[in-house]
Amino acid sequence: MILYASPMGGVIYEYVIAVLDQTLPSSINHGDTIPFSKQTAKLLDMAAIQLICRGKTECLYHTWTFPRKGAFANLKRGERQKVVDLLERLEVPLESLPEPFTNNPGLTQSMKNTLTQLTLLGYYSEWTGYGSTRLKGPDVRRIEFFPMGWLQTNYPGPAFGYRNLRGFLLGDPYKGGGHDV
Amino acid sequence: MSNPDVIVIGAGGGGAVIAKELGEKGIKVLIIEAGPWYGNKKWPNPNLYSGAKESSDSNDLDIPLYRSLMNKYEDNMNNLVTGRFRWGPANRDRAPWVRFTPQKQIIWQSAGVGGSTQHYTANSPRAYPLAIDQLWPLSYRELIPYYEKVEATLPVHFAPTTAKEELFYFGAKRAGWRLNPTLNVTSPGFRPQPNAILPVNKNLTNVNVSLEQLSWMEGCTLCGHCINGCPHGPTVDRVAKRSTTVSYIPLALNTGNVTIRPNTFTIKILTDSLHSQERHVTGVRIKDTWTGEEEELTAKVVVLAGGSIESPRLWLNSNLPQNSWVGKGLTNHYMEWVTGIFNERDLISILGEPDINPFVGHTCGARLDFPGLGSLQTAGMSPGLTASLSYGISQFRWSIYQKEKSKWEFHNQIVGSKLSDLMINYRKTLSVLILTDDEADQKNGVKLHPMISDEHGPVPLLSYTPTKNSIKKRKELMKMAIHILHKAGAKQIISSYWPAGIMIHLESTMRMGFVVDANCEAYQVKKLFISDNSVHYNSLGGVNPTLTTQALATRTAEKLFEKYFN
Repeated sequence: MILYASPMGGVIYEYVIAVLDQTLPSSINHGDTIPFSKQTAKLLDMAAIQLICRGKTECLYHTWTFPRKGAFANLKRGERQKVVDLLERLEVPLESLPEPFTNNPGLTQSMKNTLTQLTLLGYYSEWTGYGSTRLKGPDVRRIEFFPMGWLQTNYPGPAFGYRNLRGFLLGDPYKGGGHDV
Repeated sequence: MSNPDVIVIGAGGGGAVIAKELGEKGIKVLIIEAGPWYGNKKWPNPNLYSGAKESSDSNDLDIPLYRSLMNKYEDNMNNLVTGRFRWGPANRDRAPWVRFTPQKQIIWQSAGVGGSTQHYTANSPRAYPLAIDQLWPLSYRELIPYYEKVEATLPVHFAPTTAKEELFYFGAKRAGWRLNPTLNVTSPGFRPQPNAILPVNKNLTNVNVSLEQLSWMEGCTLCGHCINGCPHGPTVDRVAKRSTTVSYIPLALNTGNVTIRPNTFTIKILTDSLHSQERHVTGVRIKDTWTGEEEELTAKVVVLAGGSIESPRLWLNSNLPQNSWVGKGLTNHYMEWVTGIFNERDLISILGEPDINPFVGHTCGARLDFPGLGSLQTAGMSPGLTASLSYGISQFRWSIYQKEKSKWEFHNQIVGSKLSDLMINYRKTLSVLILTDDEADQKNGVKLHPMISDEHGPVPLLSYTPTKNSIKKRKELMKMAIHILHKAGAKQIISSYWPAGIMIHLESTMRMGFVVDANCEAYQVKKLFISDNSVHYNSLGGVNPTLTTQALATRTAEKLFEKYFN
């Protein structure tokens, strides 16, 4: 039986982290695994400092100024969005970004879309329905709940079919392709 | 298979077709495929265990297995990092294979038997004659018999009408466009999409047959899962959406002459001499994606069908002769995505129903063609893909602090309560995908990354900037799409302004007339043929590329046979 409404709106970040951490193969980093989500968090913190210090001749803030939550997480939502836009416009010192973003403008710019797309796919796909199995491998996960985003959108979920045929504007192209309707 | 006559690299939209055509002529063909094989009993858990080495028997195909794998869940199927349809090894505990680019990018390609046709929406229009004649080294007329053969084999039919197509036709008519009842498009107009999807089951509206029963029978059930991997049909070879894994691959196996080896990456094309100007192909070097074991195979002829990124990458990684057009000229239809939101009252008066339900029917069932500019097509997808494609990707800033252009038109990435307002209206949403007649430019393309390699050699580095003409044409098409949605009654219209690095239709990186001749044989390496989107001289005028690749593959099989086996 499928249960409705798992209260999982607050856990989409887990999806973003899990997918990010599987994005880059270790082979491109000399055999060392890249914890991509941690590096992305560092990237956001560095860009947050950049935003906070913008226009100031002397800036006393550093990434360690915010020991509990990090510079990015301390900002208000609108400011967080501005931080991500700084990355998109590459208004950050590319050479001092954390690996694998160092001198990698394409990847740095892509992070805005990547973070947004993952958040949306996590929220509106079946992922929240995996419930307690959501962080297991894709071949082990099982649907336990009706996914949250599908409730919001009123999507009925996967189907065998729909009987909503309205006709045909054109017939068989090999029999002249004439009008059927 | 030992000692094949022909090795085909890649079992996607092109490779599967040429293998079947050659197999029917009695040629022994081995297909090497980098990704997994879904729906073959020799790989009952294709993402978990390495399984068998190869299969050459259509009795190995198994519809219950295929159905259990194609489970229609969009994260499980379409996630580009962890989904079954990704560019990566079968083992989903591993990362996908990387490509680099100095710009924002999404590359939507899939490894596996069927290649990217596993997730394609089966759109099979012919190229515009205007984009072929006097430009390509062959004429549109020469292509017609090959188009006809592929259309009959897949087969291709005009899409049936569901609510989203009806609404698009309504808007297009009100915007002044006419129905264009043809496969050979020489003037602007709208028409149902020619799709490689089996006709609707005649019992679809018979309530005495349950929808589940229908899903085990032959014919489309309008379930709307084309892009998530259609699983419906009585047998693998009669599945409704005609990915090559259910169309040409079973036909190839039926010839008794074709063997397919999945989970195997071709890392080098081997030739006879490194020094002479004209070289001949002798075979390939391959690597098992589960074990890492390498092997060399020989063949009389090699067909490269790895797609517009991997084909030039493999050429460059094989140290084949220098050619200033290898990897150059990349086109991607410089795509854009426009979404209309409708209100209930209008929908009831137009459709007689309060919702459009974009998840019903062919994923892309209606189109408008404009030779000289490109094309528009409707796109109705599951909510995760809709959210990410309509609102999750943009060249522009977040909407929260960007000034809106007008009351009903937005141009930006949408977040917060505006996003949830739009998604609450998901069932009243109609999206239009724009395909631009994109110009091939030698500045755009694929080269090897100077520093970074994976287990298969230096990784591809892509770059793409639309030309001035492409930018101008996309603007015109956007105006047309917005006008049609407006005339159809949309109350809000959102242009996503997709960034230029969206790579869904990649073409022209091994262009005919530059890298290969009119028969798709490489000028500089004899007995090496190419059979994928990369040989297209241009982007076909802004038309979905698969059918043309398949028509060319059919033709190349003939030419290859005449030259080397007759």
